[in-house]
Amino acid sequence: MNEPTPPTPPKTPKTGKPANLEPSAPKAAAARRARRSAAGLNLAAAVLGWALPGLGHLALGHTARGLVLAATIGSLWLGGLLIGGISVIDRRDHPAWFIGQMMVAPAWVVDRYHDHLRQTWNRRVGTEAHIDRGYVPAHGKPEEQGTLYTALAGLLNLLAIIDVLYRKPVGVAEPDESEVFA
Amino acid sequence: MTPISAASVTLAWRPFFEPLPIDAGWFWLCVPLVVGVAVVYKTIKLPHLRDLPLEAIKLAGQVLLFMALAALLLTLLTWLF
Repeated sequence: MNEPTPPTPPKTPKTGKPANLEPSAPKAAAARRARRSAAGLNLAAAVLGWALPGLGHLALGHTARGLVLAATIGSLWLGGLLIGGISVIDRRDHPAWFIGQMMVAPAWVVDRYHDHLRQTWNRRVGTEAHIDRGYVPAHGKPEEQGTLYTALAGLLNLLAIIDVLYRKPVGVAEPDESEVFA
Repeated sequence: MTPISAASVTLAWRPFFEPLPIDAGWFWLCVPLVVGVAVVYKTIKLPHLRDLPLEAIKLAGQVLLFMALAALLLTLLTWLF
């Protein structure tokens, strides 16, 4: 009966001697620090990407990717606002759609402004100024398409945010395992 | 007409404050939407952006083609039954 042979330890390429598999403490600590720093950078980039589409990728040094994302998601979001007007972003009346829309942070600003105009208009009930709402609410197809564009832009930005969380920053090298376990 | 109500009546379209009159031909708006989705998807997926224009056009074309086929099929079904 054959006895199972114990696995042979890996050898270092230069000396041919068995490699020390115990990580050297300073190098392992340095690798941990580098990983933590990269994770912090990715988290900051994700927040930037939420604040303005593509900004996260730009912050990590992925300039072309960031510019393409900014142009595309920005165009879809602004296109939606252009089609339906600011009334398509409405946290109070369309909370489900707003979940998608809020993935582009400026949607919060538009929603606050829309709400401000609506409240101002409501306060003017009974006066002649009640005629002017400050904006024309969208109905039918413009509302539908405007809402769809802004919500889809938000969901695409969510994809970009998730991508930026796991994307390696340009110019930051991964810690080499052979250095850590030298 | 009082000055206040006269100020509230605007004839020109005000971007972002008034919706676009798109009731006719609204379905053409799906084209930029699909192109946008294809560009963002491929921007995230591709390792090198030099292939982006071709890949995005291919993906957008495929999506639009299948949307058109689905629309055709549904039209045929409603026409037959």
